[in-house]
Amino acid sequence: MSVTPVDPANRYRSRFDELDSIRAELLNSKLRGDLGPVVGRVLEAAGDLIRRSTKISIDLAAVEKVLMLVPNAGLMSWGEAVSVDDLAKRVARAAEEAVEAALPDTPEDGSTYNSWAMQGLFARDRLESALCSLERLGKRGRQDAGAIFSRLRAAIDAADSKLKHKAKWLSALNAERRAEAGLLDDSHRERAWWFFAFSAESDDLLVKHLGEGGPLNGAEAEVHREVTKKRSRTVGFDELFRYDLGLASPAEQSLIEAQARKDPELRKALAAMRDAESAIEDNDPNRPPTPVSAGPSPAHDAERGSVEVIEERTDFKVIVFRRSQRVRLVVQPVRTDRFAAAAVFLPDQPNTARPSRDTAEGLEFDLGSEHQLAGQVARVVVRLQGGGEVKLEARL
Amino acid sequence: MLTDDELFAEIARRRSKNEDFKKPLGELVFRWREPASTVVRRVQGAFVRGSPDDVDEIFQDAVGKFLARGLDQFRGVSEQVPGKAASPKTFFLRIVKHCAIDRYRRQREELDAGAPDGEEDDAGEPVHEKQRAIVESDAKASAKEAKEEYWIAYARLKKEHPNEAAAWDLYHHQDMDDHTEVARVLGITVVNSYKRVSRAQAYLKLYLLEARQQEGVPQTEDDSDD
Repeated sequence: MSVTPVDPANRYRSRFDELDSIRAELLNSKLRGDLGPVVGRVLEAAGDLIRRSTKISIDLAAVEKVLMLVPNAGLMSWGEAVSVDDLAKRVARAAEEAVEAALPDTPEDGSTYNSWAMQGLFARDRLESALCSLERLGKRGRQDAGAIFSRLRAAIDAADSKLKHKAKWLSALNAERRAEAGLLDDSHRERAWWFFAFSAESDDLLVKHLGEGGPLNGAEAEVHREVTKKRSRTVGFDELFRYDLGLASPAEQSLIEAQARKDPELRKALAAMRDAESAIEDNDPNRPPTPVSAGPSPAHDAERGSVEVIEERTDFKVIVFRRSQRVRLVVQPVRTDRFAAAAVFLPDQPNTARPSRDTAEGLEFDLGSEHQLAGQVARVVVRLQGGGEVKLEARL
Repeated sequence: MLTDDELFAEIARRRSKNEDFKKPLGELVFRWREPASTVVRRVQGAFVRGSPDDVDEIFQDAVGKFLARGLDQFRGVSEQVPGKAASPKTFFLRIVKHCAIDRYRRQREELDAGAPDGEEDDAGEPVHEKQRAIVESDAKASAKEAKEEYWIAYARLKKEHPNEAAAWDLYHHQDMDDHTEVARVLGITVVNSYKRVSRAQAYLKLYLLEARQQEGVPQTEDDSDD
């Protein structure tokens, strides 16, 4: 959404008053501290006026007199503080804000983004004004200004060459950009791409048309065809990995589940994900180790322990680990959103749940020595979210 | 001998100081070779696809991914979902698992694309040979896809404007084509869905214009004053 500015020329005329007041500051011999910020204000205000001298009639000689007052130390300080990289980022951000302004969620958002984006463009324009002042100073024999000008001009020209194409992104700001471009002298207008390029009324709706559809020509019409070409995207490595790790957003989860309903290959992949997970769990160094597949002696087997999956459901698993002659039963949530609680009972105390502790692999119940438990049957009760309950028996 | 955790800590230390860490990384993943093979076999079993020869390639692929992003990702996952990244080894094995899944999913897609209904396999070429040839060309195919300008633009959209990318993905790539449904899935209003999809389209087109200009694609007359 565009907002027509109220006579921007007046804003620039007030720069002359600002310069006049800074002149008094610069003539004050007691001025102390870093003069860089003051010098920056002089350079920008003077340049603003010099670049618009045709449309804004002011006394240019008076402007130059103030300009010549800038002290060397302040000039150097200002020059060192200018960050062209930061400014380039600000202009790039302004381009993004202009797209948001063209296609806002609400009209209020549009006004806000429009205002932010224009601030970014004004920042670029202020540096251009400062450079104009430096160049003027250099031509008046100030070598210090000439050196800073050359350095900054080269840097900003390089940045501009990478940013200029973003003028197309700025179409929502065109009413204000046209007004600003119209105030610049002819000799300065072409360079000010941030106000001038693609600012014709015929470009005003360019971004809106790119987003919502509308008449497009040339390169814009070509990319429209490319973007709207029918394409499908299957869930990829990263999305499945994030899903597996529980890091997928709700939208990503919905997407995967929706695709799986239509795609048997994806269903197969999800099944493979679960199957292989048990192999990974068996190899987790923080879990009781699994039996070695070949080679070790029975004694070695006993020492390393064994694992037995008693029950494997979509919501949880029940696994019995035997190691160092101890038996541990683990209820492992597969879907943490479905699992609520679990309890394990042994025949000698059928009404007293065995103590448990949370571990990385799930809820662990230390049932006792393997020798004492041999042949007994443990009762496992798993409660699910929503009130469901599953009862199982595990032969020990 | 250093434990896995100690070796992993040493790798992390060297990385933080920009020192070479390939040797300790090689030693670490070598220890995990056998369990990785087990994981691959489980995936093969679920897909009823693949051969023992695949293990090497999948293992190398996994090491590459672990090196490229897993080392940083592991720290993030450890913080967000502690139970899912109990150890570097567990995390690595999950990468192995997904490399294998990815491989066999792609293999199926390629087989589907390469064998129209009713067409017999070429001159009695064994299926596993055909699969192997497909896998070998798979890297080239995926690299080509990654270079396609549209998908590069979409990847940029995902990175810079993830909300717009999510809406566009559902609306355009997942054939949802209905803002009410997109809004429901994303938990936003229908108006938001419409706006996000519009911004996504605008950004994608602007990215393509930008890319084409940077590549020196000749501009049309409309662009001549740019």
